[in-house]
Amino acid sequence: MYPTQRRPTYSQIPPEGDPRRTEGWALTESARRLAEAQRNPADNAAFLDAVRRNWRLWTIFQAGVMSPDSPMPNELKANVLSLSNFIDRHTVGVLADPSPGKLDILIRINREIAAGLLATPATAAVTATVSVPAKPAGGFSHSV
Amino acid sequence: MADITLTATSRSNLLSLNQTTDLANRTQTRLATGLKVSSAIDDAAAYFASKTLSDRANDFSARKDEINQGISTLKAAVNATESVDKLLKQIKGVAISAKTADDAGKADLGAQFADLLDQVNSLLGDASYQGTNLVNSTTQSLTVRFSEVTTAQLDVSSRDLRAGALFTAAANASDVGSDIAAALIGGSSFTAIATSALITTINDITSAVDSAVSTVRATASNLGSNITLLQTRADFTSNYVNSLTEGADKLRLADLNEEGANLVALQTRQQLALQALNFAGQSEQNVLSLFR
Repeated sequence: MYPTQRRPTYSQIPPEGDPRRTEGWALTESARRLAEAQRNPADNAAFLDAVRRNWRLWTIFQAGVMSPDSPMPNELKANVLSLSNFIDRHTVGVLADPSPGKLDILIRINREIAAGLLATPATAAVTATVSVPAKPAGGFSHSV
Repeated sequence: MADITLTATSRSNLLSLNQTTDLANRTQTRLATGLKVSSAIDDAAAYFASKTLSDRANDFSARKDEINQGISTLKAAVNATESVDKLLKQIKGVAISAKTADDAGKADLGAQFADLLDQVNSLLGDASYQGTNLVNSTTQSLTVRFSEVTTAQLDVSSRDLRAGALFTAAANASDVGSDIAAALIGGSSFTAIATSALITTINDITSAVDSAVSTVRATASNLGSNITLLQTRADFTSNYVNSLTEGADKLRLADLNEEGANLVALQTRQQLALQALNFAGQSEQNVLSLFR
């Protein structure tokens, strides 16, 4: 269906060594799979697979954030865990009663968090305070 | 749902973030939904069984997997009951047609009757999820623990909806047609029934099928309510609160609905963009292996 020769670089598995970029990539990749599942809800196995994989990804994050040696400030931890809790409950709901519309919020959360992770802190500070989005380049570094 | 408490600063930050979000969404949509990359999705079961996760992640995963397994097992059973319901309607139709059929017709209908009963049984045999089947014997059970620290758990015992059990139970309950139903299950045919007794016998059979249908529906509704119970009892919050003493108040407040989750996601994005932190410490390998 899609020409494989046009495979974009961002979706290839990134090299190890930059956990922040890896996590941002994983969230984006998970969102991509969820969106694909959303477009093909008839493929029930792939649909549930995408949802479970996303759940597992957030479980890894959750475990990391709750680890005693996590350097995150508490406010950020609380936010991540709140999101993780929402994803837990929402995912159980999707597994019990799958419907494509329910994936919207999961996809949106992943994209937001990925955008935060893939931003480089210096440029992101500008992006977050400037109210008019002047530069499409923003804080994204997918094309590294 | 509890409201989300946001400070004035958060609100204004979110407002300005909102304006960049549209742009971000456009970009991300292209990135995230653009082109299909991996042609085949890997087998989920393989990585769920993998032992590469940290102990902590394993603890969480164990409980989530149990809930996932519980829901999937119950759903497999519910789907089977729905199909059995449809087959039973056909079975009843076949029996009614036999009232007016000639001998050749009766032989043919008898064969159909037996085939449909076979289908009921094989369909029930396929209703298992990872080895647990809640509808084709009375010997299995499903246990889902909601928490490691409490004894709260959901137990569901299996029931036998196979034709033999179903009709014996139905026939005993209504005290009709047990012998005939049993004979038909055993592969006999309508031709064996004396013409004088045909109508009464078939009426007995259809009422036995009706009882079977209500048994199946009662089972379906019971299984369905267990799924609902799993959804409402699957509360993960207590885990987080216990492990995060500071900031726990905030966590309790944020029992998020979708709107709240959106806002917290935006806020978290902003926080993350300002600090070079990541979530999973040394688990980069685990994250990567999830999508290999």
